[in-house]
Amino acid sequence: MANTKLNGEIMFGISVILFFTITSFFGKYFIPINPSVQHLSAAFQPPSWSHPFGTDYLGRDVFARTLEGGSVSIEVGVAAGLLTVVIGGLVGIFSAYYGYKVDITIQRVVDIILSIPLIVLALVLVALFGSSIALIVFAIGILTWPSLARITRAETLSLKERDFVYAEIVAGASGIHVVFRHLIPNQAKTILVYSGLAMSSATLIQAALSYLGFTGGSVSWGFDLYMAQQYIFNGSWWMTFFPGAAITLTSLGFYMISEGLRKMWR
Amino acid sequence: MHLNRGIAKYIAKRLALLPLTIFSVITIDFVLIHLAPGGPFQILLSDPSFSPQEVATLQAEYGLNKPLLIQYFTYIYQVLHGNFGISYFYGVPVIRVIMDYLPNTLVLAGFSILVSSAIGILFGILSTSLGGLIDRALNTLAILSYTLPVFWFGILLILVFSVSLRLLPSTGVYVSNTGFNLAQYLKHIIMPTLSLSLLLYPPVYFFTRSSMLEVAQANFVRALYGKGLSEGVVFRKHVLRNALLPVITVIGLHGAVLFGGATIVEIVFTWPGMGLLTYTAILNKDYPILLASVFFYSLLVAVLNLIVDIVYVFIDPRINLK
Amino acid sequence: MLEIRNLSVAYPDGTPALQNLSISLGTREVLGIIGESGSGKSTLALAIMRLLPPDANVKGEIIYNGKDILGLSKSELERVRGTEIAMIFQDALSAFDPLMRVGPQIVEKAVTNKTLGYKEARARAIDLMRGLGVTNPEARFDAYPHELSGGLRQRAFIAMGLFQKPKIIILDEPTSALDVITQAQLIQTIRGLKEGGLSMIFITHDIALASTICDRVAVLYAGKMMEYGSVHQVIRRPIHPYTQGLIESTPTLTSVRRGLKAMKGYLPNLKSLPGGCRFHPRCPFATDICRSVDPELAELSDGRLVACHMAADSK
Repeated sequence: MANTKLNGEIMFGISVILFFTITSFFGKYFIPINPSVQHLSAAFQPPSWSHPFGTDYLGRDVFARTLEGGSVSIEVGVAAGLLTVVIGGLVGIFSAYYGYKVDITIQRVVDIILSIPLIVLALVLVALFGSSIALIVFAIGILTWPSLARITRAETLSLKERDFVYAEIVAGASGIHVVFRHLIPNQAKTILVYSGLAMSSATLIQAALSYLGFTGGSVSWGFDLYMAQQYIFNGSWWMTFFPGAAITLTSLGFYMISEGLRKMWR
Repeated sequence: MHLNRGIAKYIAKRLALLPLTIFSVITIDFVLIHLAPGGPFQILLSDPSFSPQEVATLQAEYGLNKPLLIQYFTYIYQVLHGNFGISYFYGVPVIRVIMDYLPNTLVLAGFSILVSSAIGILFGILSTSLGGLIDRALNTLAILSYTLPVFWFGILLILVFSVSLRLLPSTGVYVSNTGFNLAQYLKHIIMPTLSLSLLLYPPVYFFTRSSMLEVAQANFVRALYGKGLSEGVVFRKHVLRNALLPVITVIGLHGAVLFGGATIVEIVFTWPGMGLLTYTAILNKDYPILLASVFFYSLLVAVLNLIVDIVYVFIDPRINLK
Repeated sequence: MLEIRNLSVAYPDGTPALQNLSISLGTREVLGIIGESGSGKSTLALAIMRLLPPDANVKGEIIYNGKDILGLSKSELERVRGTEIAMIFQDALSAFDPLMRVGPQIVEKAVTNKTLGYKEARARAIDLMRGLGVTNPEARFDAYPHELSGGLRQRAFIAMGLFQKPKIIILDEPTSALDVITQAQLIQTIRGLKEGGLSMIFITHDIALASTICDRVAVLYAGKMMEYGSVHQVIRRPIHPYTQGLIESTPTLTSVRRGLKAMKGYLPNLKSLPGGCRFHPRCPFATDICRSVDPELAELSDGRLVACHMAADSK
């Protein structure tokens, strides 16, 4: 392996994700300020010692909201990313492995899904089926898998020609066996690298959905940004800046893990 | 540039394949909308505020009481005649509403393609020519742009240019009684365009960069230097053209991203395009518009891909279509 | 015309590609550089044209027209390349810009430098191609590189090299990518060039081919010159065991019946050359001194240079 030490990118990515995971899921145990408490009289206050990130339109502390608002984003990011990778990986590999009609049909499906903008389809799905977290994960997952499917399909097609795979097929190994014992392990690195990218995109899409009102229930950075925009002419830049920066950092964190893995394995 | 019968046949073939994908899109869309719990049929049934007679009347009015298959074929037939039904919310033919909003999306998309391509290509060239620190800086910048939520960027722009500096308007398209004013129009479109370009330029940048690096290694570059040509000539006349040629395909590949991003940007800036229309249709449960807008989105993406493919065939002499 | 003194080229990581090479090219002379892959022959060609990657380590002198090419300024270099010394390499397809037609590329330097008007240049190029055996040169001028057959492309490449009327032309495996018949035709064409008074450096792995066209030859092995003399000397009566091995392993019509005699062993890895004479593991005459001391080039009585301990004895 070229460089087995964890490089800068991976360290950065893991730190960021870990940080937000801890503050979002466990923040209530150690962050002194409550993110949901409203002090209408203390609304729109700029950053100060008592409120490091200021307060929002309901007087809630932005610092606490920013740190603890990541639970949905991270949950959805990880879950949707994994879903994408699992579906995309398997579909791509099986499609290339079985070839012919199966392959052509799946290719058509991939083309169809890729021809509609993600957000539009996600919005339609969410509008029709409700906006629970499960559905959001599902919607993002089934919309982003085609990209990975294309990659794994191409890889599998070339791997299929290679001797060791061919030998297995000729020896009569079952499709499942070949896929799980050979095709997947050989592409494991590509798939893992892609999973970071998938999680990064999933986080962004979730943020966009929550900005549009489909939050999946709890506190979420995206929706905070929506409200921030409503009051934007107030000049309270902190309401806009911090949640957005948090989204960016989280998405960047996933991306960096992916980049780091890629650099490590080239 | 070259034109021959092969190209004409290629174009014809691609045009013929176009309906298949769109057709499948309509089908899936139709099934989803009509069968899903949030669909018109189910919503009417489950809404307690309507009495059964009211429900029956509404159903008959919108043709929802006929078997699904009949509804489907009716719809297809109507679409082929350009009839997308009547909007629940606006009460006018859907096609008219779409035609009011579609051009704005096209303009926004067009400007954004231009700006993002220009930035992406310029940065790509700078990265490969200057290398070193600048390369790393631009690389990092591109990654950051990629992970930045596009709507946040839009809001930040509003914060800076509309709120603080009071230079630019924050919403809508300028419509005036005194006629079309270019300066005002540009003021309205510049921030949405910049936001959308932020989303689109990183792929162009990364691809230009790798394409240039690849071309620089190519054998013919050595032959060019061997002839005694200067670096400037080699770069401008040969490397650039060869490297930039495939960049067009990147634009085509990101058609869905382009229009998806446009949707969000339109909502942020209240730009009256397809995105805003779709969003309000979802909030208003205006299903005919929803159905039609999904159709038009896939049509837009397909047309963009078609244009890109055709342009590519024209400018790359290596493609042999005979 | 061209004199190379003690040329040494090493890769950035230190691996030696060429060691201490000294050869010369006279007017109207064809010098053959014979070697297998890794022998350094292509490196030599690139070194002369200064087309090696900028981080390559180049030492020595390449004297042309009284000046050291390795010391020329960029503008002087641009003047020398193409107009004084031209280079043709193996794969003609990858030598042309795929997006431009062949003709404009042939005349490119002259037209860019405004030495010639486009119409004049076009006419001259067409004549040149016709002289090289290109059929229908007007049409070929306007063709794209991928539209031409291998043989035509190579001729177009040669036309591109000759267009500026250089004094020296370096041909690096010009026929290796072609079939035997086209190869023979091309060699005819090249022979015509020689008769026209051009000095050439002809690089090839095919010793038989070299013998048909070269005046003098240098045999390279793993970056070092092993034998250097006239064609008659080196090929008719080879002294260095490597040269002998090359000749014996060349398929001829008679050897098909008698069977090929291949040299034992493999080409050495440039990063880890054998101690002493680098050829000793494969040499049928190797002795202790061969295994420990790297032989210097020594002049024999007939005037040729050989780098072999065994040869130094049998003058």
